Amino acid sequence: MSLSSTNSFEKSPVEKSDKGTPDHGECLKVLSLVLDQEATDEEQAYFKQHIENCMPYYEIYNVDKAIKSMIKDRCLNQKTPSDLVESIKSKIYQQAD
Amino acid sequence: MSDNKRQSYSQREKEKTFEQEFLPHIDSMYNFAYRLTFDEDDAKDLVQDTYLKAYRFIESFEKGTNAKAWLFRILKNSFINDFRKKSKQPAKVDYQEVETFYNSEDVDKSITTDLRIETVQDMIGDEISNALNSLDVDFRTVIILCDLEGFKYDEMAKILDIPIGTVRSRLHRARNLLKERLKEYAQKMGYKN
Repeated sequence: MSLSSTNSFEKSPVEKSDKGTPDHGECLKVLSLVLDQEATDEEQAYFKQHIENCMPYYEIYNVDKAIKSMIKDRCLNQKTPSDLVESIKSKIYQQAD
Repeated sequence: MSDNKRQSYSQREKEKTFEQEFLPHIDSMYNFAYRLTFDEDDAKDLVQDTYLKAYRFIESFEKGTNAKAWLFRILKNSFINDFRKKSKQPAKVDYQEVETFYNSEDVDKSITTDLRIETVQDMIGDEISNALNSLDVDFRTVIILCDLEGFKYDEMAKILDIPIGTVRSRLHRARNLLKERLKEYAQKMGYKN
């Protein structure tokens, strides 16, 4: 099992893509950054170029994006108990008195 | 909380900050607390405890900074110190995670993932929610913070007291685990892929 150092993790993906061969490892790192809107313009451009020619990554990106969006839409459903705010306030103002 | 410069608040400012900057996040806080504890009473206690601490230590809250991230950090610490201790659950994150981040096996595994977008879109809310709930708490937490609450990596690093590199690797592994669970659901539902 090869170890990826944190140094190589920080390298710009564009440097490696200059070799002309697709680098899936680098693309995978950038995928999350693009998905989470943390990528730089350079990283976004690299990723866009890569997935245009790479069907598996195009699919992975779209699956990840769909899951992320479904989590946001469907997992924020716990209803806060109606008396919680009042209970907190009363405790705080009781302490302050 | 102790690394911030102490702020000076009048009683009126304290109440205003509490009401206008802290309380509006109560729904997100309760949702987070529930997804950590899976118990309504525990979640309520955890949120209440967090708000009482936030008020007590309000001088540590730097005006103009992200109140939601500050509150989430207090809640996460309270959960670890009080609730996790009670349930005696050990942390389950593999601390080799940074070293093994994006190794070649992982890359190959991601490329050959056979979870299809149509399958994901056919899933109903319960399946996504159950898959999320089935993850170990440390993996569940990063997904909640990132995907549900929209925190940036640097904010998550502060909330969780871990380096950004660890946030990214933990998130990556959490998503792979989540996809594995969804794939299992998909197979139960009768999808071939």
